[in-house]
Amino acid sequence: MKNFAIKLSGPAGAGMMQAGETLSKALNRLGFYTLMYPEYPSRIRGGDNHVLVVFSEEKHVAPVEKIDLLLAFGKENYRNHKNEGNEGFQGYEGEELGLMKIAKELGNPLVANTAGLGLIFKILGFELKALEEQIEEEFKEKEAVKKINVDAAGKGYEISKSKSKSKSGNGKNILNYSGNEALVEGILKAKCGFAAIYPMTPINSILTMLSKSRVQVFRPEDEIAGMMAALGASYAGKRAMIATSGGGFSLMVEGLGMAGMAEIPIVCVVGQRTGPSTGMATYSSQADLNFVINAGQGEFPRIVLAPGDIGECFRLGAEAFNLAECYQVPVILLTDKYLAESRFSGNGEELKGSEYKNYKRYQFTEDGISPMAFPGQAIVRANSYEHDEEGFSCDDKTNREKMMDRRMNKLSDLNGGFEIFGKGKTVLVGWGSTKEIILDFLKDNFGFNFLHIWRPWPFPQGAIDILRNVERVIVIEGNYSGQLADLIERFTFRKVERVLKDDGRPFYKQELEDKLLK
Amino acid sequence: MNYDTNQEITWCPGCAGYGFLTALKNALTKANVEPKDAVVVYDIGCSANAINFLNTSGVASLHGRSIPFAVGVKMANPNLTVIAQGGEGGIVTEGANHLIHAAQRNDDITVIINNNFVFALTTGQASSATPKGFKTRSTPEGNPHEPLSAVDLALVSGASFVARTFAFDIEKTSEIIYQAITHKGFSLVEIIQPCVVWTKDLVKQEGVWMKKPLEIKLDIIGKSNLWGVLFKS
Repeated sequence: MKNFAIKLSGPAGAGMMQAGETLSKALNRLGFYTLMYPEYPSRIRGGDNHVLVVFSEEKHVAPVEKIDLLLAFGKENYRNHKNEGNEGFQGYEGEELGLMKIAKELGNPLVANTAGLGLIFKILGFELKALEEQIEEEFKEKEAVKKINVDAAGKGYEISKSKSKSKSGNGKNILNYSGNEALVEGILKAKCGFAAIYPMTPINSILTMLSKSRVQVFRPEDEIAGMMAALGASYAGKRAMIATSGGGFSLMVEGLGMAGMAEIPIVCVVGQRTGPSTGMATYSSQADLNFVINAGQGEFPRIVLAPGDIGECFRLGAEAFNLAECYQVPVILLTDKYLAESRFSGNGEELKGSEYKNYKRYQFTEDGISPMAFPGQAIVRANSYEHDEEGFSCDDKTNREKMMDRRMNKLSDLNGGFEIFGKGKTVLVGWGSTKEIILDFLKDNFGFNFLHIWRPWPFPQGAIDILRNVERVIVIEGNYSGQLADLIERFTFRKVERVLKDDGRPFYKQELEDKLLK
Repeated sequence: MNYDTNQEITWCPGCAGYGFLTALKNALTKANVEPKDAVVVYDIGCSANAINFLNTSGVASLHGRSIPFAVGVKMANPNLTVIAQGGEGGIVTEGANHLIHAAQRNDDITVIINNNFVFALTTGQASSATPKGFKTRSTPEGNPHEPLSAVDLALVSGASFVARTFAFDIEKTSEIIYQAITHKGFSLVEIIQPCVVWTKDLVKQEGVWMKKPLEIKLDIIGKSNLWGVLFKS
């Protein structure tokens, strides 16, 4: 079966996001893999929020531009999307079908979206059961809300006269996570103790989720304070993080440098959105790679991780804290709006009582990593000035040279950083959220090798060795200039081809086929 | 308790910083805080160089940012005695946003402001707390603005302990810092310590010492000559 794409569209406030989530999870219950990709303008009511739900019997689902089924909740919303159809396209408008009437009769106009999901299930030829079960799960603690939604789904189901085929789950356990949700799972797994987060798209749901967890959450007065408070908490012994987007990270850069100089572990989640400046605040981008690799004055070691799917969000979300603590460096987790807020599917500190005598925070050691104690255990001096072993400010020339050597060589034993898929003479290279999209492309198109880079910095030595010795390299990334391509050329001394996109939207499958198969 | 280090003190001869440092050591001694359990988060500037001169846990942070770093330390480990230090350039000019919000939240830290009325380590430019009319390297015709007061900002933002003291009076300054670091909640101590190089005309100044805290904030706001513990709630 080829991938099937559904679009739900309606004004902000009409529950499109919620409906998309419910729909994708109900489809998971039937054994389908799903992608849910939301697009919305910066407004709370009105306008055109739309959600793309693509489902497939196989793993790896890319977004598509041409859709098979449209359900709009409003005439204008219908007009906006009616020309996006594939062959065999079906388009519906909820008002005309009576979905709003059903909702009003049930006593809550807001359940029109759920009635619409019932209708979609009927059109697709699925039994209602999986949808009902999903609604029951979502509202299990609110009996009245649960009932009205189940009723709405049932009434919507009855609208269509199409015949129901019996499709009711194949027993596969398919998980459904947004990138941010998977990241938070990783953050909790790593026993993060402190998070300073100033709200900003696309990391807002991280703040919401962590606020309900055991992590100490600080909503600071600004991003500068957020970064500094997180550094303070880390210095005092907690695994600490910040989360922001490019604009907020710009304010944090001075603190990032302090983390590098004072060797304070910190995890920075940077969710990219379309810049520069305020840009397109609710759209995606991969244009901050150069920024996070180079941010800050002077030179200091850092690690940049770029998870590509929910599995990597979880794994690297946890691993980031280990790396930060192990190497005493800032670790940047670079995601983007597409990964952070879309939904994907898949299978799925305490202070130690040590004793320190004559403790030296910046002691010279063989691997360059100094023993780490926290205030209360010993006198611990952290210093943003150049400093001696004890942490006293110090401008001495010899000390400076030794300290720089120690800091800059801390990461020399770091391995891995990439993964290879497929077989072929042409190597496609991607990083971050393009992973699932390119993997979906590989399902239908053979003869390509795919190198996915999940740690763009330090740039993986293994990837350099491979890319130097292959015939053709095509780098696929969501920015204007080809920032990863530049890095590859810098390290391999070879020219690469670039497939770029900078319109705020993710790569669509057809678009990749057009560009790569021409 | 020994709070001395083996580092050379680099302040100018006659600097009021010596008075501040002595008073801070006295206060920590009286409060019986072990050096490892006190975290002083320093700003950048002359007084902030005390990272080398005071033997406690300490952090040389960034200009204007000692308060948020200190807030993080205290949240992570409430057992520590946490002080955020800064000149008026760091606390009132670059970092005023952090001052008013820490006061609003009543964060359990002590903010010590070493107010010498100018950016001294960058060779004497006007800050937001420079007196109106005062000539500095950046205001050769005299500072055109009324000064901002840390005490006033803290008071209107909800600080629960606000004091102003004079660095050359070590005895009173020691006692006031002691009260501040043992106060539960946000405390602010403005130490008036005119610079012997850039603001020496302000060295000889006199304030009116308050015998006890005032009850009405409006009696304090705008009155820069009131010294002592001015407000406590």
